[in-house]
Amino acid sequence: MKDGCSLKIKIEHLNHSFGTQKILNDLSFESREIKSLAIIGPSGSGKSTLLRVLGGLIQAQSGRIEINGEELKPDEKSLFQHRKKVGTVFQDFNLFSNLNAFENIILPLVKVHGLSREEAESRAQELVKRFQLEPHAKKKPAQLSGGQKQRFAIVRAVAIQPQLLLLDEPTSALDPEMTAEVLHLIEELKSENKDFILVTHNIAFSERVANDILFLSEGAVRDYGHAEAVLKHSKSIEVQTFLRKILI
Amino acid sequence: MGLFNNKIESDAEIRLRKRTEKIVSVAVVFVVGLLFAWSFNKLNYNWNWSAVYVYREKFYLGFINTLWISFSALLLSVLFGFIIAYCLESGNVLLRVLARLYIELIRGTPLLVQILIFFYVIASSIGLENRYFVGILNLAFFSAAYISEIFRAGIKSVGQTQLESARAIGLTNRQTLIYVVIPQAARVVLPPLAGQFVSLIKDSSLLSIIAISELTLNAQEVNSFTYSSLESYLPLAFGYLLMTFPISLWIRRIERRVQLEN
Repeated sequence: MKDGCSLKIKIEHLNHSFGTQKILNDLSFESREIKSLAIIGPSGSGKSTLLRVLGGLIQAQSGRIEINGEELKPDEKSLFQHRKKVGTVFQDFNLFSNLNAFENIILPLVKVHGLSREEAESRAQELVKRFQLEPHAKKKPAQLSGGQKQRFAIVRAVAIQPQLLLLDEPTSALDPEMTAEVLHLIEELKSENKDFILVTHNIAFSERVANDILFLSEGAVRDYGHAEAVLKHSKSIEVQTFLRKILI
Repeated sequence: MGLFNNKIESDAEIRLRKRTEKIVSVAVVFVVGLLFAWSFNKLNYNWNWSAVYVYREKFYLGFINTLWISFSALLLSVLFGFIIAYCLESGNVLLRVLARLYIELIRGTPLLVQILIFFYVIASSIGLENRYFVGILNLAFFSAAYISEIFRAGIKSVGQTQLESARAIGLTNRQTLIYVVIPQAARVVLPPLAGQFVSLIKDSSLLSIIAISELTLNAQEVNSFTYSSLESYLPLAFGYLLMTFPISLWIRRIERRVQLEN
């Protein structure tokens, strides 16, 4: 486990469009050295797209990205290598429906990271036990609750011991009780010093788990800073308006 | 039960439904059997089974030939179907157009004509003379047009997020195909694929027109030797049923398993 702050992100003039729609609009920002970052902002602000670019899933049309001082080169081969080093969890349908939860965790360990079947099993077993998911490990995704599915998805992403964990609105498809389960797990990861970037609608939670908050709107940065500074003392009128609207 | 009713049944309900289905099946078979017996009886037909029985070896031979011809065509058609499905979804516009054209041409014309043209025109012009080989290829080409669409629908049924997850965890395209796409598509593909196999077996009867000694040709020959058409064609029908019925049973088993998995 790494100690201290290790996550540092630098983005220069990032642009991306889907068709005629501009999603990332000359986005630039440089983070401090942190452990965790929450990306918030209104729907359609480009949060998820930015996360996918950072995860090497989308190649931005132009711009430059550095993660921990290392440039993310925009060719498929480098992106493929990058994807192996990060763990990504999406909003929904992360687990492969043809495999049970346990096999879902093992698949990338064996096929992508070259662990032996025994090593993979013992690592998966340990994680499943630690996060109290043991009784559900042999179930197929269709037999799991939404919260259990997301917890397994996070465990699968953590199991590869990623350099960085990316969470894209991991609770927005869940009801409040299940949301709590998943958030609890994320808090545990924070206490284990895992680096992560979280896209979320849950402002209160982002304040609790993230060192810093990045506020996006229309594909550009409106504010960035310490969580409390952004949420309580943002100078941006847009940020203030947004927060006031959703906190009512 | 019901087309739009996915009510979850209790074990007792399932048992009751199965028992009822069994009883009704037996009754239906009985009634239909009676109906057949009655209409055949009204025909005042002079049955002459003994004449046909002399040629029983021919039925046996035809059955075996149909079996291996269909089986070979079936394997080949899966391979071709996969290639065409790949072309249909390919980034290359020429491949896409060719695959589409192929499917429309094959599906839109009678198999009978395809067999004649393929055997007498195309195969003979490129020097393919083994009629069994040509016949198998022909059936496979025909069936592949349908199978490719079945495969394509199956591959399309795999959710976009599943593919994105596969990419995110670092699977290569080949691994994604093997560990995610094929197992998931199989659930959608297997029932219609099995139905296509049943069609293929029956379609093989048309190979009789290029003198391939399969079941239908043999039955036709027995008929012309004995002038006993019903005695020749009834065993023929029974022979096909013997090959297709196990596949139907297999389809039902798969469908049950798919239901369980969801």
